[in-house]
Amino acid sequence: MEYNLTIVKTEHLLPNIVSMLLDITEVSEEILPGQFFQVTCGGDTYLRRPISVCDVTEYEGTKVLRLVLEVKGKGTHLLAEKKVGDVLCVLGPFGRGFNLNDVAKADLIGGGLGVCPLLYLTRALVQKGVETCVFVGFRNQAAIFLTEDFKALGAHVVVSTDDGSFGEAGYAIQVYKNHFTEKPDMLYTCGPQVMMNTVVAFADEQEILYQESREERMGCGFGACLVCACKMQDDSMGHVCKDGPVFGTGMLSVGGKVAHHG
Amino acid sequence: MADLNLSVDIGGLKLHSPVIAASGTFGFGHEFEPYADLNRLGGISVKGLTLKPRQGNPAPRIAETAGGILNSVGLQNPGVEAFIEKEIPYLRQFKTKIIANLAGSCEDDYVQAAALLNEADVDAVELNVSCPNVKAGCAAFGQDPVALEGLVKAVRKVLPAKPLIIKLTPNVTSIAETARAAVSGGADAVSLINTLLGMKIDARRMRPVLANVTGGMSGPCVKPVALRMVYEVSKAVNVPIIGMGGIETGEDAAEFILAGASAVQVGTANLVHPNAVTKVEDGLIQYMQDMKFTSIADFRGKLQIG
Repeated sequence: MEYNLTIVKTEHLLPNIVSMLLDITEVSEEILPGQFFQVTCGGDTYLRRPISVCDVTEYEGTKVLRLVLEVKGKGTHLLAEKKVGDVLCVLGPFGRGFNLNDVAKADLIGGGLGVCPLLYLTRALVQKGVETCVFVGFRNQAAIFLTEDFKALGAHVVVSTDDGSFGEAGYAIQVYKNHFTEKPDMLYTCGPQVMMNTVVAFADEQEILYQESREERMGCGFGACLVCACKMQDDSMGHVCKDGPVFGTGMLSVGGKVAHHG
Repeated sequence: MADLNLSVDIGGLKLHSPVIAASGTFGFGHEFEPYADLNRLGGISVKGLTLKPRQGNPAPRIAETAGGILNSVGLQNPGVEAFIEKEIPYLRQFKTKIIANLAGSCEDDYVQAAALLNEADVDAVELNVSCPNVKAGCAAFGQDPVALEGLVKAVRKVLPAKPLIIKLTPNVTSIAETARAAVSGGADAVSLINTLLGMKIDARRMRPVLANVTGGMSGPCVKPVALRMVYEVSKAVNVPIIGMGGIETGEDAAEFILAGASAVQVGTANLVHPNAVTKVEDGLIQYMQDMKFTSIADFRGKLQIG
């Protein structure tokens, strides 16, 4: 549904990464890990921007939604300028989130901004008593954020950087493989598509069930405009906003997208 | 206060409200049920249908522009038969008229699909001869008055039982001329405008933003063009006009009616405000009360010039 949510805290986690907490006292709908909100940015933007749920928690006694975004284009620049007390008009929560059923041991692999939805997932998994191990990878030391939040939830956290400037060195999937001893019940991943492709390939090879959270340019966010099309396993057309953004083993046809031009 | 009568007759299509959801922005209605009372809508022009299912164009299919968007979805749809089987029963639950928006890439496709729709439980057919996002046919019919008249005649022949609306493209030199051609072919009404062909370029990447290179522009940014075209068409033909292009408020809708439209469609606004259709109708009622109008006919085409 549509909500007007008041910002109760904003914070720059990095010069280009902004975290904001929104008062969701009025929101009665359940917000699930992996879902997203369509956020009105104001200014001369027309479309809302899809932003994934980073966490649902409490701040000074108030139930809050945490959104973490990368300041990249016009819309996110406008959002980054918002201040405590400002009101954001949002639609949501939208999308099929992560499925936590029948999971006793979970491994999570996140890369860059893709670590955001994994935070709320980690909270939910830990709360359920799931043995949770989180691998978060970043380009370099200067790009690291949110890792302390993961640790605070009580999960086992392995931080890596592509260039080895902090933590373990190498791409997240390589670091995961180095640590890999026992198959988890589920491998959750979110990050750049190239990274997720390597995770999915490894999961398939090891016959581990996986769930990947995909990103695609969206119009409406609720299944009406058909902009974020993806091809499902049965060759029917699905949409990342409604059938995803989280897709499990075998849900998408190989590649999952309508063929891209070069 | 006098009772308001919002009903309109669009070439035999009787609507209890002049506010219609525009094709391609409202799916088959499902996604909007939580936000808007579909019973209040005069009609729903469903996602553009083709004879066979279509998967649409490559992604990215959308780009934002000042005051609107560009899209290149490319008529992704389940095909007319799946629509008849799966979507009509759903839509029939509501007190709203079903307008089947039909596109094609050759005359034969249009005719075969129209023949199926003639037998189906739809209230009208809106012929889409103006989609800019498909390679073959479609907009080509809408841009050539001779081809358009021929197509409308051919469809009319197999669709004797339903009101036939022709959706016109703005991507022409004279929309009055294509409107006249549609009417000569047997159209009961015309709707306009479809999207304006445009493009967006990412200068840093030196690439077009849309995978399809070009796309159809819609939203508030096209409203002045749409109003001008509705005005021109209203002077050129005597069939009812459904006006659209950037309508977001009741006052926007009133502008189109003043320019000569009998009904309006709300499109792009649905994507950012899923209750836009309700807001437009509420606003239109407010406008009529303020202006002391009791029916749409009271102000349709009553633009005062000079």
